[in-house]
Amino acid sequence: MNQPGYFELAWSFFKINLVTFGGGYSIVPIISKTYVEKKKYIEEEDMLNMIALAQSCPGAMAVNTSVLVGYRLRGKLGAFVSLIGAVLPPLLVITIISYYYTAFQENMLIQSVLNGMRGAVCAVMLFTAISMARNALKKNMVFSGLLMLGAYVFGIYTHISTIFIILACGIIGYIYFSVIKKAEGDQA
Amino acid sequence: MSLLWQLFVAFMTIGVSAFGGGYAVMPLIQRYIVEQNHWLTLIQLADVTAISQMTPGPIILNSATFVGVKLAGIPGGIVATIGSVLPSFIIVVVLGYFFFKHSKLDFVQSILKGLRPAIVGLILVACFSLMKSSLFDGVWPWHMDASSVINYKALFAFGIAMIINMRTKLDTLGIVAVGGLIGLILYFI
Repeated sequence: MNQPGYFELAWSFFKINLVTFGGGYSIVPIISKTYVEKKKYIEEEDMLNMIALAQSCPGAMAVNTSVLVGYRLRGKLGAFVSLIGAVLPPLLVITIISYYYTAFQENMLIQSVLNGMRGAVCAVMLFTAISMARNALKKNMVFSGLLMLGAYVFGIYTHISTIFIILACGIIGYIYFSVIKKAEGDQA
Repeated sequence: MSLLWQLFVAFMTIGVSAFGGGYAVMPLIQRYIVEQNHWLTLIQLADVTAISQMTPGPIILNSATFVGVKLAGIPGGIVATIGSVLPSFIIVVVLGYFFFKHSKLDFVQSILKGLRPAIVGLILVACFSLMKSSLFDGVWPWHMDASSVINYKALFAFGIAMIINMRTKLDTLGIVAVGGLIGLILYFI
């Protein structure tokens, strides 16, 4: 497996967290674009496993995912440098903004630049999210498609916390593959 | 108890109780920062939320930096940030250790087969809600008069970024920088 250096880890998570608008899941396609598609350090399935784990821990998901990827690739020190890379952008940006925040909120030029940046982030997210959806449907298509649709519908139309949606899908996966499929396999 | 230590403890408490991410953390900030310690007013909290929507980074880190800097300058911002990420850092590494050790087990694999498509579904939710708030004014254009909700600058940057995504290998930071540049140019047109 390819491995990034410590500096590369910290720097890449600095860049990723610098452009993550919207928080939470919005960071995932962006990490995935760098680490799965471009540099091929991690398999996409492995990436999704780590996201499930990051979601199950308290705290900011973007930071948790960064730390977990760092840990996976370079152990505890890798986790630590990824943490530093991930927390520096908000620390720097907000420190500056907190001194000038009324000017910041009212300045139309800044707003215009931020609008352009957010539009671009949407494009990166949509592009990667669609390719992730297509990959997820390659194995067990009906089962995966139903769960994806279910998570999407519950996520968008209800206020159920995402952690419960994830939990429910994990249980369904266990029942389907470890209980039902196994019983069928034993009969045959 | 010194102010820096108080900041550290308050944000560590928020960090360890913030499950679910994103706006789930807002009620916690309201409880520990606004009501218990009176470090922010409710109006300032609304400002922090607005700034968080405009700037990158998770809302918990943005508010930690904002409150810390406001109360105790740059050291305050650093201490509050460390407090907010410390518990989750430890938990993530410990769980990660067990996870990577046991992820080959059969029953873990079954659970993961259920989790992965669900995660993709939730990523799509995040993607569409970010598009709704960034490209349109929080309302999909087919629900009302389209011209009043379209953010033309963001939509134009979105289109260009989509083309760059398909045609080039430019990394995310580069694409977002192009988006910012487009916003800058459109401001002067």
